[in-house]
Amino acid sequence: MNDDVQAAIDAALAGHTTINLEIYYWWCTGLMIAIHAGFLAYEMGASRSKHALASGVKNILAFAFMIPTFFAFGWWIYLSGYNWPFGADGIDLMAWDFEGAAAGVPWSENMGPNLQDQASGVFWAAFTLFACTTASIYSGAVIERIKLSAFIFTAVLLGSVVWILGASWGWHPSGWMVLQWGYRDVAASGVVHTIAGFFALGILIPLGPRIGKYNADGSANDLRGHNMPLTVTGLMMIIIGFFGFLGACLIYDPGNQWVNIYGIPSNLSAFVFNTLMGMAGGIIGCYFITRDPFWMMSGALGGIFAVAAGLDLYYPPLAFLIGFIGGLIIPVGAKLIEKMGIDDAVSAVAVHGFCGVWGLLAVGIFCAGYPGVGDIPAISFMGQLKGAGVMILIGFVPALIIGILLRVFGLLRVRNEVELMGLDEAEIPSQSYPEFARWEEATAGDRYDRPSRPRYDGPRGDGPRGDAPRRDAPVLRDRVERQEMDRNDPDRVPPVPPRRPS
Amino acid sequence: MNSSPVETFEGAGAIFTFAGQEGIVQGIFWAMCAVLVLVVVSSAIHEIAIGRKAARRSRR
Repeated sequence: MNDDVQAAIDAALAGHTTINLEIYYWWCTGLMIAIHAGFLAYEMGASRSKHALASGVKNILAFAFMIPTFFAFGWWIYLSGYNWPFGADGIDLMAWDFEGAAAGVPWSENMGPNLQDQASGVFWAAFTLFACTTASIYSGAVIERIKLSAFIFTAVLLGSVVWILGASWGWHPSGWMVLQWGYRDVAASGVVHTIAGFFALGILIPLGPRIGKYNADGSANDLRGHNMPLTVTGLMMIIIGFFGFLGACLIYDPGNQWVNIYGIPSNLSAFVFNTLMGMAGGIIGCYFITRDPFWMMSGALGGIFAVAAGLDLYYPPLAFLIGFIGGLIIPVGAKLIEKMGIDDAVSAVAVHGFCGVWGLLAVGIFCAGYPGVGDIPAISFMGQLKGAGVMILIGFVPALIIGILLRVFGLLRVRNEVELMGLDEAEIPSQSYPEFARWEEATAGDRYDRPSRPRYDGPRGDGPRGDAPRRDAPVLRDRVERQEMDRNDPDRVPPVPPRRPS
Repeated sequence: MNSSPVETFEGAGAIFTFAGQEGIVQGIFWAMCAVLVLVVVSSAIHEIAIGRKAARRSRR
């Protein structure tokens, strides 16, 4: 009888264990969606109003394309590429673990509803959202001038190939960087942020700056986004989402001690101590230099990324100081990038790339000597330094090559006329601020007389669209009438009409 | 068409439609990939057309 009771308890416990594991990653994944809501708001706010919706479309599509492509090949790359390209006898381009990654083949029985497999779906989903995050990190840097198709292609390259290969090398208990160098990057300072930041840099160089960013003498203009409150709110949402991201970096096992991605014992308490302290340090570091809310919220993110690699090991006040230094690095790094003639619209290279590198090095400086488990060696500064170099290169080099190729074939950047007109006007059927456009039409008649202003008939070429200016607005009536008189002048370049959502 | 891979859920493993019929599953998979490629290519063509049209208009 006792055996029966014990068996029933064991069965119930096993069931709860499985369900709890699934629930944990389900909600981590759900919380990570906030990262993308945040990036959406952030990038749209950081765009000028004539590009706002195009920035949003780009961000939404990055999210949408990442999911099926990560299903198609991203997850398989992570499971199989941890030793590639090194075989038993040196370089071997076929050194993929085909057998070990069988469960990640897109038509395997594990890659779909399976009553015997409660892990594949939730882990795939968490990694998919990590991949979406890398693409969103990169997307902000290239707003207002990259072609949508080029962006989708490069985002898939980053999110479903490049970063996940780096993750297989340095964020997998059998990864060659982990086993050979003791590389430690618990919450992805390197594999997500460094790679994504330097990937952005590799595309920005061939992409070139936005029109108007630099003057003839090389000095830079500040092309401010049209909605700072939206931008700052978006940044706060990204921070919320990162609590899901960081939570998913732990391996949940209700029956045993929690472990980090390398199988080394850890827990959520360690993570939350240092996440909050790093975030606070980053905000204060940016405030110290800039006093600007945009930079302060960027500093919050940079502080988290700076402590992420050693999130389970730092003494919390040390995490604060590391985050503080990350906060100092961001505006200085952004200025450096700008002085180099590279137009990074949201400072993604500084926030993610530079803070990611700093985070990897900080682990080597402050956590050297921490042991690993199994065949994983102890942490060392040289291991972290070499690891940071690999992460920079695996992000930067493929992006630069692909960016140059796309540019050579004219597929990377929109035409100047489209950029000047605004991507929304050219590509998006709806308007971001339709009432503002009507007001602008009614109050800016003089400006429409400039012969150089391009005229455009909408994305489908179906002729001028939109409402006529309101005739019942007495204050504006004289201007409206003047515009209508102008319209009858056959030599005049017609104004850009206000557009109606289709 | 019966897409079910199981007759009963008792002790079943993979239960997604056509599980075990690898040819059909792969066909669906490649159809998804084709849709993704089609959308990217059509987007590129659309952008080229828009750019040309905008350039033409601005020259007038």
